[in-house]
Amino acid sequence: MRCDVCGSSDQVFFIKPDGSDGELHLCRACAIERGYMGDAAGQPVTACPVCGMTIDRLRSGGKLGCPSCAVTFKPEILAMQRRASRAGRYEGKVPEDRHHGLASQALGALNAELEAAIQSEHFEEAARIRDRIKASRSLHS
Amino acid sequence: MRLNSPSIAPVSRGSYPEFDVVIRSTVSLDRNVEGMRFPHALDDVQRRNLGLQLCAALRVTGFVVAQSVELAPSFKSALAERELYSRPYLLDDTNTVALSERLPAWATINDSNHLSLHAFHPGLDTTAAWHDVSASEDALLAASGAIHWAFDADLGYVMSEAGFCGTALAASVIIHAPALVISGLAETAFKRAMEAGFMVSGAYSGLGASAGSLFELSLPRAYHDPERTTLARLDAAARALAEYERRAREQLLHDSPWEILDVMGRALGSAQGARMLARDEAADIVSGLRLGVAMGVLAGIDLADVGELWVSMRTKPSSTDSSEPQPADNEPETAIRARVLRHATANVGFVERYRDV
Repeated sequence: MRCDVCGSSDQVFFIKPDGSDGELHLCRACAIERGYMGDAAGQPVTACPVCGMTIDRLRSGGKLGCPSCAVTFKPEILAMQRRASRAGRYEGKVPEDRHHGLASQALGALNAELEAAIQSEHFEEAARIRDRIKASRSLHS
Repeated sequence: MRLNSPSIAPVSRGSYPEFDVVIRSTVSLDRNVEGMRFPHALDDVQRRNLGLQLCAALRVTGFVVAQSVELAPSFKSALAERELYSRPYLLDDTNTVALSERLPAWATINDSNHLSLHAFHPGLDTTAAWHDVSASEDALLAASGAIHWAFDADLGYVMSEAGFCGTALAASVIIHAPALVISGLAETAFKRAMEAGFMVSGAYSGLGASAGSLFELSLPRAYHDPERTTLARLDAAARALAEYERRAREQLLHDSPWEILDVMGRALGSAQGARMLARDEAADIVSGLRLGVAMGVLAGIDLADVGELWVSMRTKPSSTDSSEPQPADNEPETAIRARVLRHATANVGFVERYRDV
């Protein structure tokens, strides 16, 4: 058995990532690098550079220490939301200072989805996307 | 010290959407300031400085702000009775109370997150409540200039609870459903709402079966959907429950009028005659009165004024109405509660059609 990432055959671990049905085969070094294992001293590798919050503490307590934790632990948070069936594209209110870039980006993606749904003749899906575009425009107008 | 705000004032008489069944709608938004640790990880100095920064912005936005320690005990009691702030929050003298001078909106600082903005409207009106919190937030950002929210394009607003990152929207409606309770249909109706993903709790006591047949229907934390879409789901569920309650009322009045008229009549008799009332008993009496007034069976008091009685029955009555007789020193809470109710219902009676003696 070889590591899926580097091809090494040393000590390969079988890892099932959160929210995935698949399995990863990683050597110790690659598993530590991706935050699936602690390092040799038993210390978690992933920690927030601002407040020092670790992934283990996040997993046990569910709390973040500061906004930077959201960047550091984004995959973990998204996995938590997927487990709770809360995943999906963010379509809520956007702060004014991020408003224009994100709104047009989101609308662009929705328009592309609408186009694809029409091309594939999935008209019910197209109607749903059209409603989301309307809601998004009215929210940001 | 007392603060003036529409959020602490009694609900004005008037007509509100679905007001015969839905008491009020509340919407809240949580926000955190970019670059600051979350409240549970702040030290005292950071907490105070952040509090000062947010208070200054709120003042510019039209909020009146005070520390809990500055407020009169009776005013704090009124804030808790109206469910604007929790008692534990008010017990901490360093915590801030901020009420909008213009809107029925209020703010909590450094509780679970840096800022929580709340607003309520009578009846089923989550749209108006959403508009108020959203407008308050926009005004606050415009006023401060220096405050930027912690936000991520994929996660939405970043919350101290990792699982709550998203729109950080919370919303609830209080439903008065005595006919569903009398008919034995309440459990089925609210179980369906729970199966549809809503949370249901007793709104009066918050423990199991609700005194006063009041139920709180709330959204689970909203994550990624647009706020208005999420609120529309809550509105639809509340409207369906209100219609179900109305049908139950009509059916009871048609099929077994003695049963529903008995609830109203006993409530009126107790309200006008009781000399001592426990909290939950008083809540059930007010429920019977409201049912009667909403169905046009009882007259002599406005629906909005009946709702206000729930607030004053909740704990030790802390009415600010100086026209009411003031309590004697040794008058127990139960006696004050009964007296407030007698005073409020002195002119209430059955309408002509339902008088049979």
